[in-house]
Amino acid sequence: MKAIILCSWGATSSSLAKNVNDAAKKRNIDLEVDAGSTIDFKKKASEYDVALLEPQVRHLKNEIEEIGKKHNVKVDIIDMQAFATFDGEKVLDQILSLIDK
Amino acid sequence: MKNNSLMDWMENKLMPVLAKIAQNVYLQSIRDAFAIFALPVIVTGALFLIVANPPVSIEWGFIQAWARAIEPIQGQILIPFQLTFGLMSLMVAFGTAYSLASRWDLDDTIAGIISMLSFLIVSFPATDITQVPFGDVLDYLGGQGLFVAIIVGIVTAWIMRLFTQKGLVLEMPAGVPPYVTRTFRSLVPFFVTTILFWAIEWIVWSNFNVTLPQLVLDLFKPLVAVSDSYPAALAQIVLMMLLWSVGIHGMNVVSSVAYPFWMTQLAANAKAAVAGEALPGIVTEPFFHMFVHIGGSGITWPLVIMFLMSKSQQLKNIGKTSLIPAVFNINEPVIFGAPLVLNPIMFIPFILAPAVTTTITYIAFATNFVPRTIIQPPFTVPVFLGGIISTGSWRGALLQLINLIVAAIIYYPFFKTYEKQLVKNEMEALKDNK
Repeated sequence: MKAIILCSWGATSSSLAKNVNDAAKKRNIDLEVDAGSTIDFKKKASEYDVALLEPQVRHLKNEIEEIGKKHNVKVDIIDMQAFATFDGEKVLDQILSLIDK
Repeated sequence: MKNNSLMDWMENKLMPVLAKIAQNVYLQSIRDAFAIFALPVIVTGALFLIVANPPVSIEWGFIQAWARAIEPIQGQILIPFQLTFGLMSLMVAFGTAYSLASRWDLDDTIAGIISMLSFLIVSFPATDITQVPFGDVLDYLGGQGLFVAIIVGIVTAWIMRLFTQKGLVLEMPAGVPPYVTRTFRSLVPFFVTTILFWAIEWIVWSNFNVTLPQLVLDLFKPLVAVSDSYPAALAQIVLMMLLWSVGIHGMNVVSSVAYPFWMTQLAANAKAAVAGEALPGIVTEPFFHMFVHIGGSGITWPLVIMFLMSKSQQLKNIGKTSLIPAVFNINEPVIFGAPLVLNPIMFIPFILAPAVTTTITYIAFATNFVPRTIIQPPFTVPVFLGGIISTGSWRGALLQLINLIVAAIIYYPFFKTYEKQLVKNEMEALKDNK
């Protein structure tokens, strides 16, 4: 399973992605999380199962969802508190529940 | 947190409008052209500008010795500077077409190349160009050609899209290797765009005896002048903060429109610095990033410190996670964690603090209390260092300190009010759990 966390330049998303990866490892879940900017997403969307938007790019959700639909990627916005505290566990739960849907 | 009617209005009425603007592909592409393609180039160039022009206002023996040592080779040291700042518009021409073509699912690299070539064509006089000194054109390939570079980039991508949609491209039969197909597909738009801009260059030159960038710059001059004023700076900061208040990356949106103006200003300053003349421009990108947005949009450095010492568990946690990003002027954790987004209490200082520091910064530059900016450091350069680098003077750091203190005073009473509310909520939650 592969997921990506998107922000505007890929700065904050990399810290969060690291925490989610750590959380996944701790729980022994086969998940790889990348970080990136919304601009790069278009080109590599097909590599992922899930794409999460950080709250500061939530206005781009429609655009990302459209791309996601083409490549079968599930798209959602990260909870504001989970993002702000870089809560890897909470974001991991969100990814898992998205995949189950 | 109780949402009052202002916040409801912002969420339901303002947010959709602002989101529409933020989603505009042209604006996004212009922003990317600067932030992704032009920025690394000018940051590199700035490095050579610093080496060639040490901050001699600082009376340290080491800096004076440095100034003496580089004097005989100043011209040589400036070569990379001149060819980075001097070709800034060429990068923007590439970047605009590339980003736009990429968003429209066209061959982005080819779009960038066509756009670069077209921009070069319109920047040279329609004469025997082997007789034109490169230095004459260099200014317009740099800071003064930005508006034309953007226009050329948009038109190029637009022509490519038109021809692709109408099927007016040379398609190869299936089975032909992809790179061959790609070459042929780009040929028609390539010819059409080149011919178009070549014709424009010829028409403009034979009628006005100037190149297109010169002509457009003359048309834009009043706008550039207006953009360097206090009302313009204030309007930009208020719009940025309004966008952030509803959770949209305000800097991204505003900079897509303002970047060409900031860069024109900055390039003019850098050029004047090399020539030893007075610096003309005040409102540049470092004006905002180094002096107004210290610690991140909305000058939130003081808030992080207050959060760290807060009695509210939530704010304390946010303070901890925000500390390291804040050093590098990244503050999304503060904005969404506090949260400052759609927060009726923090809404006021979140707009007021940067508006006041914009005023202080403008006055400091206008009165030459602090030398104006010549360097654009990456926005992640920490406070004080950024002030010194961007202005070449210790007074830059002093101005940052003043702004931080003022922002702290503005934020404090609102922080206290908000903290009280959160502590009360946290106590109640604790009681309920028992």
